[in-house]
Amino acid sequence: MGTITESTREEVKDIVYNFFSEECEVDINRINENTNIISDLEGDSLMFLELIEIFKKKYNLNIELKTIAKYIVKHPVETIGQLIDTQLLIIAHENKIVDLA
Amino acid sequence: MKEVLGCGIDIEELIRFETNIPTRTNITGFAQMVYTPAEIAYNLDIYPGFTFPLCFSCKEAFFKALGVSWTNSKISWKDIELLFENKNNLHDYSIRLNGFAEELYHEKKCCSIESYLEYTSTYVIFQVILLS
Repeated sequence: MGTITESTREEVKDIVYNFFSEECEVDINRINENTNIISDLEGDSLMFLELIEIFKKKYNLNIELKTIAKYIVKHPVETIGQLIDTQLLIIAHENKIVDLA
Repeated sequence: MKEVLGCGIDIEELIRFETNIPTRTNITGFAQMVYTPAEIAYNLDIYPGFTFPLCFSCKEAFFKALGVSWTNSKISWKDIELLFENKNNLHDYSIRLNGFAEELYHEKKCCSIESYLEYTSTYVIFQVILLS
């Protein structure tokens, strides 16, 4: 499990912003923490899955997709800010994320 | 007369799958998350550039027909399997349901599935209709 520092947050933020900017062909300056992934960026499942895979590789995460899905059912991710927060929790807790309230 | 209990359609752009198509020497992380071992085994030899995007599209179409998403229910990508039976005809396939997808299918009292697929050099389309 990883330790979350301010630099980890910045790194995750950069990855997420650059990913959506490129995938959705949106100027990165138009993306902020309140940007809605579906209604503002037209994000889709494939993007979500690709992003999960990017983070799994980058942080060598031991996490199952079904675990992420279980967590997201209880804690929906709609905005870029929520996605970054969830990703940081995944890095910090990996499969134990489901034990979080 | 049969009643339509659910309908889902999905279109995918092939180019978006370029980096995640599995091969014999590299079962990508994406493939391990989304496709079942049977899908990977069956589809590796049959135009994987088409069959894997079609599998993905089939799953998405099924989620829509069942009225759920992998982020708002217990359904998993691996609950729905698309298996191609004939190397020379991508229209010859079968769909298998497992886990929560199978539960939902029976809960909705579905008795049969009509499905259609089509593909071009750039897109694949899959439609699922659930019937009483």
